[in-house]
Amino acid sequence: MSTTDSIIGTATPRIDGPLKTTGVAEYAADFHFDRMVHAVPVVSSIASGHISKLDLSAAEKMPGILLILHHCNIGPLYRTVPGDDNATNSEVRSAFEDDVVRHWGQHVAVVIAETLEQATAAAAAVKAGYEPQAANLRPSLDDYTGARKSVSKRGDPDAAFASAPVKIDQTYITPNETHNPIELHASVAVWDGDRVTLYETSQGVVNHRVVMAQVLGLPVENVRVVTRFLGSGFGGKLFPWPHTAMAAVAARQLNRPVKLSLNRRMMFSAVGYRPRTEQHIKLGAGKDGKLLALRHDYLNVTSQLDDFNEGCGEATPYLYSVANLEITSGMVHRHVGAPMYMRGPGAVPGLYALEAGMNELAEQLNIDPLQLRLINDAEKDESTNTPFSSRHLKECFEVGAKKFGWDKRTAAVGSMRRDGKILGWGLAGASWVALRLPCTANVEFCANGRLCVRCGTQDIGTGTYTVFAQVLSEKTGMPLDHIDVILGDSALPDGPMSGGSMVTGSVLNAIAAGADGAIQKLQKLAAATEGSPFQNAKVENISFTKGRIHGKDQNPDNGMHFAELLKMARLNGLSAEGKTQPSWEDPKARGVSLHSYGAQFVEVEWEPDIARLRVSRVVTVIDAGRIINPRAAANQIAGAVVMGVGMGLLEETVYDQRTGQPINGSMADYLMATCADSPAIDVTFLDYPDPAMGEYGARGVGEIGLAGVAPAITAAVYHATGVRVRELPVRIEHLLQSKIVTV
Amino acid sequence: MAALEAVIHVEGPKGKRTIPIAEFHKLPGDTPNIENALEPGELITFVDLPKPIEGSKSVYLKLRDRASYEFALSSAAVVAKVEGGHIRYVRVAMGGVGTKPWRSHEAEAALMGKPADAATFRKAAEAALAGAKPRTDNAFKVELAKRCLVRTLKLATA
Repeated sequence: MSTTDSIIGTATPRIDGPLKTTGVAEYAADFHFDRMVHAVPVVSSIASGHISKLDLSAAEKMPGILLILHHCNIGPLYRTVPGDDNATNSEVRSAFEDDVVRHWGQHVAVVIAETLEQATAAAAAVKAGYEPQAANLRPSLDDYTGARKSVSKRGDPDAAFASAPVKIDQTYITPNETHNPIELHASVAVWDGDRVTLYETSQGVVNHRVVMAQVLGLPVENVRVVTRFLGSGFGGKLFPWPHTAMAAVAARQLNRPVKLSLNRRMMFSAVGYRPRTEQHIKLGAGKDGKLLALRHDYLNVTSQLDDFNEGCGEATPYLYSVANLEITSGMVHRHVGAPMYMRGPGAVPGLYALEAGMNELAEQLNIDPLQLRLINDAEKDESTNTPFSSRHLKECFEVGAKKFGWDKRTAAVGSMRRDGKILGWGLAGASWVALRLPCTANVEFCANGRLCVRCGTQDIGTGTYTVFAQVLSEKTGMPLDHIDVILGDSALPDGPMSGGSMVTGSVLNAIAAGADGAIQKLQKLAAATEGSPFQNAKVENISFTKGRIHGKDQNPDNGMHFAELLKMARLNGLSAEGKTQPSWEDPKARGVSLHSYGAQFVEVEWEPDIARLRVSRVVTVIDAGRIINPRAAANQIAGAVVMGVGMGLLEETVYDQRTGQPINGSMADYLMATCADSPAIDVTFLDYPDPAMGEYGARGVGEIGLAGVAPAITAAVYHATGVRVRELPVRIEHLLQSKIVTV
Repeated sequence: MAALEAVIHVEGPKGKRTIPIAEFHKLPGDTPNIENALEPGELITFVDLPKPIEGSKSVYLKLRDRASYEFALSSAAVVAKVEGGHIRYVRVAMGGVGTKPWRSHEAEAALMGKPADAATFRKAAEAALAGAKPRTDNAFKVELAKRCLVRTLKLATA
């Protein structure tokens, strides 16, 4: 555990906070260049068919118009190499690849003009004609008869289910949800000869560069991607979308910088969504509550061309001890855009179904849902027969129960009251994968007395800049205000994507190794530099403390500042690279099951006479390894809980069944939780370092906080109202079915 | 404003005029593109609210899935005056139930002179929604609107 004076584990304000509060931080759309022009896409108004005609005559005569790109004149764009993990694209199809329309809102043209207003007006004047074809927009996936892939299997779940004394056999549905980061997707493309720099809203600048090199047909060294700051992404900005290529081609043809920013409406059709899932859960248990069988058969919707698996079975194989289990998956193609990973992909909708099933099973068994979790806790990962690296799920439940006051719960529906309202209490477990991704960080001692770390990852808005500075401060004893963190540029050493809550756990090791390496180089330099007080001293007798080089037995205050040494050696800086070994190559991490865990306890208040239900209180206990910055981490978890309120009660992208158009495609109509919907949130971290994660034992946080919130809400809703909602979100129309009409 | 019987003042190329709130919003009929009584070039300059009835109380309640920043699934506005336990003045308007603020004369008739109690409120709510023509996706609004009105009446007569 961290020592009391260590900056690791200390609630540290964001080092980039002032840049954001003063507007100095440059987000992608904030980049402006001389002679820069503006691009506005034209999107399809049908969901399926062919473009029969593009009438550009009116648009081309409008003021300021420079160029209109479409499938006839975009020129060569390429797809990315299938299966190349270093070049993951969002969509198989490249921009304007053909005249086929496969979803409403597909880009059919892009208009470039001198000003944004001129481009917007001209885009509206482009008249697209279509030969429409029948579109399959059916929300329900229950007509699917195609293949199902076995994801995980052990024992004989069907036989065990058939003979189980107590059973649950239910289907749980989650709707399409739209990511809706506040920052709109944007791309600013600037060419210099045959080299292009793309200022992007990207959660992965390194991957983005490789993809765009393949798409544009350029050598990878000719592409640079910059994302200094990101106004979040929730997964929607993991990989490039077609608008990046549209901006890049326009800029190349015009030989002028081009800015393309999607509008909020386009965010609902052009940049992914969490796809609808229909998950059939079968649970069989003994009368003692011990699980005997578990089946988790799920389907998710996807686009016409993209094979996208939502991965709902991610946490199911290892969460509980059960001898007989099978998970299968299937994809259902509809005339919608490509789905994209959204915060806690797979595990979050998957755990909603599994944990909702467990809550229903607890009721059937007449066992407290908390007890049911404890009875079925797993000692090892039974899907891989490997030990857990560090699992404290039981403690999450026990600590959470105590903080929440779970022992005061009375099980009967509608039996708890407070201030003229009925209370409902529910709980659920949470889990999320941990991995250490390979990456490189460069740590440099600079002649100006500052310390610098560089890595080609990016801060999605969660505090990455700050935790990196904390680790460097811990390693060197240098204060935070003497540390510069340089991120968000593909020209930097390769760093990981901001996805899967994996940046912290991955990059800290590389930074620590880089710092160690740079300190060693300083020590050698001190011994080798003419005139240095340590010239010809043995390196092992030279120490480094708080920026000063000193003899092992010498008071550090009497040592020499590294800046002085660099000056003496006529160096501008001295740097070292540190690398993180991926967890799958690490003997300590390879043979273990690496996951984070959590427990969610939810209270709802129910006013039956006006059918008003609000989440009033959430207690969340998270086991995510060591917490580097409790302030940023608690902020992540609390934010995820608020998102969970949206998932449970509010969020769904609704499509017009005639056109395929999202009909609630705005911030007013697509309901996300507002501040007024946010409950009192109590976040606790267990803070056990995970030995498989390296020096700091951090697994990273963010997505884990969303897992388990929705099933805890639906359990609380049932406890208050007696209404079992198995299709999210819970709406007023569901609640009106309650038999309880007055308090 | 429907429950308060507001008067809309407008000014346009043809001069000034007033429109009672009840006539301001239009039902769709065959011209769903015309949502209100404003003529081209006319602007609302101000709105008159009649002097409150002495001893009356007014309440507006909005029901929705989200706690803020959402249109009402159902809302109710009530102005009521109670004397000796009986309702002596009442105006009822509802929102989220049609294409215009819906003044319910039926509910008012069911309330006038009656005891201010739960049974009267429920009868008024039934009367208000008796002519409702719900569709598949908004059928729940009939019951929601009734509960909304009952709670609003309760608050306005408390």
